[in-house]
Amino acid sequence: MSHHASLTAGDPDTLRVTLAGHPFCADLDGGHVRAMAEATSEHELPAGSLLLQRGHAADALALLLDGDVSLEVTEPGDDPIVLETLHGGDPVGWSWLFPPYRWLFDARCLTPVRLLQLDAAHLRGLIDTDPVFGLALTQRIGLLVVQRLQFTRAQLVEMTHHARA
Amino acid sequence: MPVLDVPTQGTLTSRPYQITTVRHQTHDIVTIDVAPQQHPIAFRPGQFDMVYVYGIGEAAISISSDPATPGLLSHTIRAVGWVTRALNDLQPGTRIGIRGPYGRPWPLQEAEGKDLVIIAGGIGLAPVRPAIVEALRHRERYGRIVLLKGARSPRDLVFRDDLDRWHADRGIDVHVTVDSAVRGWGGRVGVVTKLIPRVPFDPENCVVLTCGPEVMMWFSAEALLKRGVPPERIFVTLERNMKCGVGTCGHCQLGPVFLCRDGPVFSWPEVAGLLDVREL
Ligand SMILES: Cc1cc2nc3c(=O)[nH]c(=O)nc-3n(C[C@H](O)[C@H](O)[C@H](O)COP(=O)(O)OP(=O)(O)OC[C@H]3O[C@@H](n4cnc5c(N)ncnc54)[C@H](O)[C@@H]3O)c2cc1C
Ligand code: FES
Repeated sequence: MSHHASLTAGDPDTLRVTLAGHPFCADLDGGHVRAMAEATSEHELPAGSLLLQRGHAADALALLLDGDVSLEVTEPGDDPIVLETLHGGDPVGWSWLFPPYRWLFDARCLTPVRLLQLDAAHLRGLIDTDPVFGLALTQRIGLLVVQRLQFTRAQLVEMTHHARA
Repeated sequence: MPVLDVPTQGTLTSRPYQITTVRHQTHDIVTIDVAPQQHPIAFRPGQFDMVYVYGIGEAAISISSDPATPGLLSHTIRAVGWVTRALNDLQPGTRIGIRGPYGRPWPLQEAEGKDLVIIAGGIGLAPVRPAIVEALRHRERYGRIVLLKGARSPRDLVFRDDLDRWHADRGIDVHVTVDSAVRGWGGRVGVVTKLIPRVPFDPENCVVLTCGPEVMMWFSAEALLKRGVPPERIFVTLERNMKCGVGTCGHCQLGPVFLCRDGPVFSWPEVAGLLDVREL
């Protein structure tokens, strides 16, 4: 995660409440949220900073609270292509869950961003030791991947439609 | 000049209009404003005209101007074939023929007392623009007014002035997204349907007007139904090849309906089954 991130003060209870209130955690068991909160911190990032960098270790799950982030692919000598923008309420990335645990894209803050950062090693440890939590979390990530895939397919269909016209 | 409020269904005679202004919206889309050489004719948001380029042919084009000023009609046209390409090349002063208005308009009355959600993809903003203008004129009749506008890329955005003005207007909540962009665009990137689950409106008390590529309307309807919008409150406008525009030639037939006569605006239950049939 970005070097620009500044940790914002927050006591564990407030963090747990913020985490429980994030759409990613909707309907998640209270005990599971508490376990996740143990390795959660809140951060602020300035506009323009990189939240994730392609090729770097995917060591955290970021849950956006406020602000806009763009997922980008940069080709040398060209303007970066924005694949998608993510906004308050969105989770960012799932590469932290699957080997080789490296980010595939850059994520750049378009505005000042406030986010929760959940330590990936802690989450993977919880998944290994608590199968009920593991199922709940991987189902959530599965749903996220399916939604993004559906949006990407819709995007592809629309772009092909335009290109044909 | 008096404004005629004549029922034009069945009228096949085109009337002469003169182009007053040509505005280039994108590299292949223009808006042409025309003034009638005879009496202006009233229209309702969502209706279309058959626009005739003399010597070349006719095409069905939605009216994109303010219904309160029928003396100044606008049509927004994307160059795809003979007629639309010719329309893109016309200069102010040229005369064209217009017959209409035709078709079932947007059900704005049904939206009164409810949130009004408008989803427009690409040039699909043109047919809903009169509905937005009309709803904003009678702002007190509606709850929230929300516009979700999608385009392929920032350079394909139409009606930028309107979007900027509406953005600044507290009466309407405007969300613009593009399918692809390079850094510097600064706005949202992603399909317009992605906005549907997160934008504030009351799914149980709203009317949704959608216009754009059929696939976009299909994806939108799916997302709206998932959010809990009753199917009969979702309206789409369909396009098929048209010739007569008045329900006599059968060119625009989609199963049991003639789009020119029974549409082009339909509620989702009226057409959902038909859009799934590949042969239609
Ligand atoms: C109710 C209604 C409202 C419409 N409103 C508008 C409007 O506001 N603005 C507008 O620009 N068009 C609008 N259209 C679409 C327009 O009428 C058609 O595109 C028409 O066929 C254009 O005539 P043409 O002679 O230029 O092209 P044609 O000779 O009919 O077609 C040439 C080529 O373009 C393809 N083509 C035709 N239409 C489209 C399309 N819509 N998208 C992609 N490819 C196409 C055809 O398959 C063909 O290959 C509307 C259609 C309907 C039915
Ligand atoms: S265009 Fe002739 S019946 Fe519709």
